[in-house]
Amino acid sequence: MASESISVTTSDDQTIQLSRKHAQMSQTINSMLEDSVGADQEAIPLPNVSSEVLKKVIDWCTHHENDPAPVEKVKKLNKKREYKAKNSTISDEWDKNFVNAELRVIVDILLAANYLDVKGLFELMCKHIANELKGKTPDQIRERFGIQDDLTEEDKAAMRKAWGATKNDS
Amino acid sequence: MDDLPDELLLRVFQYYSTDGSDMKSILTFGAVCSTWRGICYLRTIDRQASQTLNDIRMQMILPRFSETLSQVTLDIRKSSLSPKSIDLLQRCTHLVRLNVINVGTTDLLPALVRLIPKIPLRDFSLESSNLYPIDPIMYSMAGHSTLKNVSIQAERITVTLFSTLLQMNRGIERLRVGRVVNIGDESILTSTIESYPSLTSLHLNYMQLPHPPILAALRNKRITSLGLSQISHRDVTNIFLTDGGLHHLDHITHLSLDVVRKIDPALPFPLPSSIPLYPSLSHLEYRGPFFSSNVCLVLRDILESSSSLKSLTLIDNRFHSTQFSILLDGLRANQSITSLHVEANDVDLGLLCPLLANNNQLRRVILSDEMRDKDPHVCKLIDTMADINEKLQLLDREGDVKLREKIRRNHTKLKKQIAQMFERL
Repeated sequence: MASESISVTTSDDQTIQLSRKHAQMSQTINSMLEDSVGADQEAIPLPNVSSEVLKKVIDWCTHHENDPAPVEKVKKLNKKREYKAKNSTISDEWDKNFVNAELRVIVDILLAANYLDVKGLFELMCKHIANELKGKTPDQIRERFGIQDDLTEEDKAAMRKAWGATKNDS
Repeated sequence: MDDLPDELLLRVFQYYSTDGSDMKSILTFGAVCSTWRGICYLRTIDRQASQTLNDIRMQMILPRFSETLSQVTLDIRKSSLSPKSIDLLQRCTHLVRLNVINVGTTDLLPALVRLIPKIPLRDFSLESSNLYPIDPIMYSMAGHSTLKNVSIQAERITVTLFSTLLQMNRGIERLRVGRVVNIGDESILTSTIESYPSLTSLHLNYMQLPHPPILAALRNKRITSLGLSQISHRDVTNIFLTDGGLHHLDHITHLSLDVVRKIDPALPFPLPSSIPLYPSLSHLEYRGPFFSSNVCLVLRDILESSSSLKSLTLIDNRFHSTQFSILLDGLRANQSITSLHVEANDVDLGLLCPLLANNNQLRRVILSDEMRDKDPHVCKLIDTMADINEKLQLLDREGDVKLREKIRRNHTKLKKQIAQMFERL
């Protein structure tokens, strides 16, 4: 019978135990487990995830362990034949608190969720960043996210021209 | 944020739609830095490419994406396009799909004629065209080595021109032609269709077209997909019950019939005794302005007896609930259909609920917006059923899975192009 807990080794050489149920919420770990059926139960290496971030991921998995499996629905086109944007509302209060963290941590969790392929967590992080961007000017975004302005005046002029074109179309 | 790969940033931007309300936000993000600008192009380029391109967008997009742009729609009436912009498209070395809409006799015709032979087109379609004569466009396709799928929905294509198109392009696989008029020698067209080496799908507007080309199509065993539009009930009977028709349909897998005139209930409907005999038929589409109970009984029998039919499309704006109930009996008994597309404004959507709740084989149900809007409560119930049933996709008319697949495929190419663009900057 399969063990009820799984050992993983993080990028900072920490070995962490997590339940099989939580491990299986990550498609990446799940695939590794399936590949290693019958082999010696060694710790699964996760070279792209630090122990600090993995603990956050486990926290999220613990809170959402009874959620139904996410189903990827086909995006629909509206009457103007354009894709609707994904809904960026975060409705779960626990999730709202969870994303109330430093940007550095949020980005690390997003990268980890992407690497581990934890769909719900990945979507949550994307939503949060999308919400963070809402209503901000380019200057405010650069300041908030620590991004350097490397656009030339020529680039900016082209963008302004495109803005005008889009406005006229809609 | 610098650590975030482009693909993840793109996923974040997907929370912003490309319609008017969020477009400003996306363009704002594009003004943050060159990386974000590239990602914003990725987010918007598909819309721009698959919708319409005007001069300004052409000038913005083409210098950067001329090597990756794979499909373009040109709406000549809506866009302010100049011949110079269309000439720019000649640089698109991977442009395989060109869709031209609403073209009349304009200054752009010579540019289009110049463009078509220069690009590696695989799919070309001309829709809602008032272009007359159509000859220059047809001749511009002559000898095109990559052209596989052609759709010409224009007025007054002569039999001679139709024959010439096929004779000059021997590699066409899918052909849809509207409004062929019988000017010219139809025997040339008949013999061309009958022996055409690569044609697998033919969709013809039946009005004004003489019978022989249709029968020739039925004799060409390579043609497994046949569509006939603008046909009357009398024509259907003639096609399927004449010596040349009925028993040649054994190899047909896709059959689409668009009936324009009211079916006379007194006349025998030609399908019931034939379709169940077609062992290969997997896709049946029936469009018409009137669905009689007789037709529904026929379709019910087909559904009950066919084990090969995978997809059923029924589109009729006067399709009543009582008739739909007859069809549902057939659907309940059927064990092969996985895709159901219904557009019928008078149908009570609630009738579908028991079918969706108990059917395990349906994978895709497409309902028109009008049906969905008519009864939002039932619609919500059906949506919930689709949410519960993971295998079922509930789509509206425009819910195009292929489009999503195409976007996914294009991202890789576009990303490479953007990376090269960054290197140049």
